[in-house]
Amino acid sequence: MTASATRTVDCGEVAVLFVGTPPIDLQQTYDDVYSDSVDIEVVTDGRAAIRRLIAISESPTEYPRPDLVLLQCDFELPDGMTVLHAIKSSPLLDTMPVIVLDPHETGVERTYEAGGNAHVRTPQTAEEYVDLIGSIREFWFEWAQYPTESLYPDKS
Amino acid sequence: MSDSHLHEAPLVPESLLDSVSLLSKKWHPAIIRCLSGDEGLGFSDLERRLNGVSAKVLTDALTELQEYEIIERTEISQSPLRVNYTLTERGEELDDVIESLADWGETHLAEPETEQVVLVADDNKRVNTMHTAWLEDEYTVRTAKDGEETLRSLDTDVGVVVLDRRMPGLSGGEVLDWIRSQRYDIRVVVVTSEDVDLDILGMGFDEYLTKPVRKAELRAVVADLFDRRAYSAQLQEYLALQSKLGLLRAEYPDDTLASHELYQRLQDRLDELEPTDEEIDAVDAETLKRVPLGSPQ
Repeated sequence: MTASATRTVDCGEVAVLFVGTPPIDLQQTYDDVYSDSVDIEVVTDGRAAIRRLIAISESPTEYPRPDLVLLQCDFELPDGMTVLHAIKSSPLLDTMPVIVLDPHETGVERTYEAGGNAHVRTPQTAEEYVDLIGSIREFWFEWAQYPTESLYPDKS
Repeated sequence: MSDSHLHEAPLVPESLLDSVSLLSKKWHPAIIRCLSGDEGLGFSDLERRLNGVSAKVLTDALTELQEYEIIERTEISQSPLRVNYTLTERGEELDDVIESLADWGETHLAEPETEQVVLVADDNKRVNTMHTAWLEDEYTVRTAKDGEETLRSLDTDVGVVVLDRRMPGLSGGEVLDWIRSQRYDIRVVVVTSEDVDLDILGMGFDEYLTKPVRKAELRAVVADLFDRRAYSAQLQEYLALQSKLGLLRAEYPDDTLASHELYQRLQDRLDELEPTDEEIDAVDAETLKRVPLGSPQ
């Protein structure tokens, strides 16, 4: 139950939940550049994200738990902060890594205060998105370690 | 100490001031408590028990208590010198007073063990303000004006949520699904202006109130839900189900419910959860008044 695994690109399918409206097809872009298997699920707003996370929590076999959440956060609107706070305060999902993408760089402190794992400037162009995905892939899926199955101690 | 001018007894008699002054010294009550109901203690035993007292201060305190004839000093041996301190009869009486004072302090001065937090969520500002005002003398109340703010106000400190069923954006039902899916140990009372409908079968609330809610009703439900937090998960689920099925039985004819698959499933679940008589005995009487226990047919 307490075992944690090193999540590397060789270690099966990686699932990413993207909350927001990316200007490019993230899955397509990723698959064009990288050969490993990363499944990118996009939900367009906070409410859809919450619904998705409810489904993930209630039926973890049907909806795989994301290994990483990329959260587009416009700090003018409460939407992104709601999702960030909901995840980070949850007894079930609080260890799930969340990277906040902020177009204005106004939410740096609020991101970390709410327990966000990283705050980055939202990419402006398709090239910047590809760069960002590459960096995230290298850091989060090759270097970083984080808990996996232990998030569902009673669902094994 | 008491004077003989009885015709006009002072409001605070000298005798009271003297007793209070004696008890207000830091080590005096502690020494008396240490010697209570014991065979007595030697000087070094007392020094050890009264962690932090210096030998000089302890010597002075013991001397003063002897002068008041509250404690008695007995020499057990001359060489080496060994003495034993015990309470006198008036010392024993004072010990009873100190014990009562300690009990009083525990009841009235001690911080409550844990802060009880209620989250009130309603998009109607007037209702929100009113519900908050009704609860804030007893609980720490957080207020949220919609479903999103409710999620932002939610954490594991919250014990009870008073949740409006219909809110713009994230609805009360979705907030409730979130709370349950994340395994929060939170009891939820759904508050609504709508009639009971079959949709409530799928909702995981503990209690359900129809607006307008009266003050006494809300306060009783919230107090009851805090009590329920101490019960086993199974008993909590049983009470929540009883409450839900009771609402539906009051609203719908038996055959309508009997033909509803989810109703049947919940009825079966209720039978599985049936608590023992001892468990029922442990349930608060207020809860039992609210939740109609017993078999439905």
